[in-house]
Amino acid sequence: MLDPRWRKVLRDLSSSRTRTVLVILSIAVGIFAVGTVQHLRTTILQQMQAVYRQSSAAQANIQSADIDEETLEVVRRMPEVAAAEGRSGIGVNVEIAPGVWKEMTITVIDDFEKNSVSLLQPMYSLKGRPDFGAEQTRWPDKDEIVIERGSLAAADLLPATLKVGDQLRIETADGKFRQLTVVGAVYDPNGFPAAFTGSSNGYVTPETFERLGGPDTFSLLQIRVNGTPAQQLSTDYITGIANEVGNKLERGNFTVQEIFVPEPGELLFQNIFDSVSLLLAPLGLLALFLSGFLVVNTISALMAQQTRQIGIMKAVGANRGQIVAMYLGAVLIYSLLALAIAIPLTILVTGAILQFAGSYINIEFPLWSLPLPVLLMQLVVGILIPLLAALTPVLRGATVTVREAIANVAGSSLHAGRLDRLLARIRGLSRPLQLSLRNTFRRRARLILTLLMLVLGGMIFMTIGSVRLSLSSLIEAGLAYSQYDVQVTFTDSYRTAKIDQAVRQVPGVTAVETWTTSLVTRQRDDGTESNPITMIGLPAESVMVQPTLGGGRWLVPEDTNGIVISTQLIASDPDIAVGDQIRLEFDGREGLWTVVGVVQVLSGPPNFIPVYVNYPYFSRYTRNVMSGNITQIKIANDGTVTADEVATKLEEVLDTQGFNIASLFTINLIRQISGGIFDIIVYLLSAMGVLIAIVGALGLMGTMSTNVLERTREIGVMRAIGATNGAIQRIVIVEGVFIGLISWLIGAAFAYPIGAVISEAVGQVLFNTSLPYTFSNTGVITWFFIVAILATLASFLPAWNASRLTVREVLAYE
Amino acid sequence: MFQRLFGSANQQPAKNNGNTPAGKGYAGSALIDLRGVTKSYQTDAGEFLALKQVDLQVNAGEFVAVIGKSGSGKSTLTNMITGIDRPTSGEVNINGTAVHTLRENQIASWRGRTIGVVFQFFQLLPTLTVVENIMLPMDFCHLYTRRERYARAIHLLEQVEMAEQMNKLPSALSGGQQQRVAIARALATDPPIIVADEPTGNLDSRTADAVFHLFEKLVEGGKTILMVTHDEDMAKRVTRTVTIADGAIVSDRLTGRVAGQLPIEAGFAIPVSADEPLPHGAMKPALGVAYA
Repeated sequence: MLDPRWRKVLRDLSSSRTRTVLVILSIAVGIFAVGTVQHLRTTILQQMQAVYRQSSAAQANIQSADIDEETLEVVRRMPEVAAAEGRSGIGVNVEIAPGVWKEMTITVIDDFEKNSVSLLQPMYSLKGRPDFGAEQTRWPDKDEIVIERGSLAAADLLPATLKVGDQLRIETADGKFRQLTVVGAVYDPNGFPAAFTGSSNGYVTPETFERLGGPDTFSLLQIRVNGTPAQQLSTDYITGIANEVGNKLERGNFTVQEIFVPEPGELLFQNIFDSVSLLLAPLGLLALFLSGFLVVNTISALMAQQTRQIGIMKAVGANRGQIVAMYLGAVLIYSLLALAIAIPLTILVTGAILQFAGSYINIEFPLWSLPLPVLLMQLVVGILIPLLAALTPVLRGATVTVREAIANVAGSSLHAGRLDRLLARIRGLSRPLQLSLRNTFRRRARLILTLLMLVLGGMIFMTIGSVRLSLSSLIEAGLAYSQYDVQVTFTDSYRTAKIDQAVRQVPGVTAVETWTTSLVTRQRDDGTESNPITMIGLPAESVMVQPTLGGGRWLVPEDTNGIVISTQLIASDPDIAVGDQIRLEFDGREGLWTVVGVVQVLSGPPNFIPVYVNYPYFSRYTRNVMSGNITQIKIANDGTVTADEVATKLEEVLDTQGFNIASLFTINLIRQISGGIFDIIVYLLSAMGVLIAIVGALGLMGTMSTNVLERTREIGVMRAIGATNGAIQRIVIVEGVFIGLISWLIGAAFAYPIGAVISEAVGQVLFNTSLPYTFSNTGVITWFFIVAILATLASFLPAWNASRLTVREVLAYE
Repeated sequence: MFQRLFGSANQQPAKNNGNTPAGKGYAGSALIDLRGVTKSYQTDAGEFLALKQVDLQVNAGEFVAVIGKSGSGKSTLTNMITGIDRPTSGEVNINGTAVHTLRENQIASWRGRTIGVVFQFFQLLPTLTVVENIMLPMDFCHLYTRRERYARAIHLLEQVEMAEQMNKLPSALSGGQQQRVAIARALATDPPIIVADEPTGNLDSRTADAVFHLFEKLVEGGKTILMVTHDEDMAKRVTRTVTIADGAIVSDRLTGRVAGQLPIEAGFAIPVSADEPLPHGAMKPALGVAYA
């Protein structure tokens, strides 16, 4: 049998259902927000790291043409190298339905059995594709192919009912048709997911690869290094070894085009998720913090409302500790109920997000689960924060003496302040409106907390609009940089005229420009060396780029050793400023370059550090005059051709004419990849903004309910002297909307500077660069309407309840 | 039955010869013993003296009415006795406890066991049923087992003829019924003293009479009752009437039947000047002598 005091606690909670529901929901939103962020963070990072470890991901990728088995053996014999494998890829078309062709990237694996770097994992079961027959998966032989599981999961990239044993009809780059038998599915966590690229992935033996038009050598050398665990996580250490391998290759007359060292210990995209979780964590905490405010407001109101009852309980023998325990017990019940909502909700929502993110980045996350540390964190936070928030009002409320309580001194200290007198002086306001406005300022502390909740919620909402817009601006600026439609990178340097001639054979090509790139390193004054820098030589007056300058100027034709560096270089070498001279080593030679400008570069893989120099000077410097290895192409914009069509045709023409293509990208693909990542970020940020706004709205509703409850007697008196239902509802709703609008005004005033700060943080965290800050007026206007609607809705229920009170009920009210 | 139930477990009533109000010679054994109690409040208009050097001794088994005009200090006086308020100076000894020396928290549990408080507006907790309201003080004071609390609450309700309403919420009861429940609640912890602040002030005359009758039965059962009232007629039915004006006791007389021995209005009225408060520790003169 429950003691009467605890029965009172339970009855108090159930008798103020609206308030109880509001507080529980508010706490639940807070617990849900921090739990979800922590769950996503923990699960995504843990799973990514687990996958990384299991897949023996390549620690360095060295791009160079014509790497053969003999060269691989030489590299493998280097003591620093633990494993080395060659890879090559070609683009083909695959028929997914009669006459419907889609792109497919086919990668050659030298020996599936001895695969030791960037492991392919055979899949013997496929979620969502039981009909595929994955249980029969085996490594492919001649004219056979295994399909990456992400390609099978993505829509419309392969025949819908594809299964093991089916024949895939392939069109090679030179227009030949081949049949490949599907012999299974594999998982390649280190490959670019099909959902991003819109192109399926398959893996074949060297023999099949050649039959599909691929070379009999490799264009990418993937290595894993020997070293202590600490060294394995050191970019400098791995880069050093990769540079040694590169030097060895160059000594063997190979041209190393690029050395790419991914962030050690991290899977592709992990840095993005790190950054996103860094951004989301404070927002989650903010939601929790705001729900704490609501607890403070509600418990303060509860204590004020129950002052007399507390006095009575003390009069019949309750001591302060018992009173404190009762009200903290009430808060504990709020917390437990909130946890009962928040925990399953966290599991559901994170499950959905992980499923979505997993399909996007091709990682299988454990769904519908809750890691123990996250559960414990939710329990601790969900119980402690409300208790801490409630402690002060409960202690203060429990301190009231019986005399004060009986006289209700605590609840009756209202004085006409300066603000009231000011409001009274405003002419032209109707009495009810004046009453609403004056009511707004009656409980200052409560008003301040409510405003704080709404202002913070609104500010974040408005700010996220600006961050989103700034991110879009950055993407647009990044894409605007690339004024070309297709970019082809060659494994070797070719004469520009020869490339030009070949490319122009493709219908729809309107402009061609070939640049040259080389890997250089910065020799710092302290004797250390930077990571590889990609030096791009391009005409100063190039029409293929529209750089976004972060300082200084762009190249001019007169520049000789003038260099425009990227924000990526500033991030790795922050000591460099415009006007400085930097020493760069190329091919064993050092040269001094004068920094004339800084450019913001968005795209490119991680650790891609571009710098830009004038092509004529650079080609002489590299003794590679009139030739280049990267070609930009513009196509006709009259709708007669698409970039994809031109790219396919280009590949065919260039292959036919003996050019070795390392990669071929359309700008649409880059846009798709960049957009995909940013969409995830913006969706998550927006979801957080909405959550915070919900807490704000709950806070306002709680405040309005409490205000109405406290003014029950007053409302009864108004009814007694003739106030209609409508008049009472209007008085309450106008007060709520007024609070909402004040919060909007304050929030809007701060939205611009706060938006700038958050955009800067997002830019720095994600891209090591400032976002081009673009303030979203739409966000401000949208929030105005949202807050007005929320405030109306939040006040409607209390207003409706108020208007239902009868004079008799009110006069009986205690 | 009534006597057994309402008989105090905490304090045995002192023998009263029926004609001796608490006087000098009884000061040490008085159940309620206020000496030189002064209470002042700071108001916007300056210091306000609510009680001025009040001395009052009440023996066990007395039924004392405190009367006076509104603002005279009646409620302040009862607040001193119940520990709801503290004296600015003076001593308050109740049932052998120096209440003025206790901390707020100590007072709460002391009060729960020693004094049953009955308020003018009943002050039942609105979300608890009638029986739960009565069990609440026993719960707070950790008296009796859970089962005993329930049984005792039912017995108390039977005595105040409210057992049939035990599962109703206070809002479903009339004022008179609520006050009966409030009296039962005041008796829940079996305190030796009941302090009632205008317990019939909010009731119609018939209901007020019934409530008063309850108090009379309690006194017969050995309880000591101190009741603030405006009602002169009620005051005539108690054993002793203390009149208070401007914060001072201006009359203290035995009235009505004292343990059924003295006729009504047999006592003396000893005026005490409000302008010349009695020095601390001094007893009101000759009350006891008047009956000697």
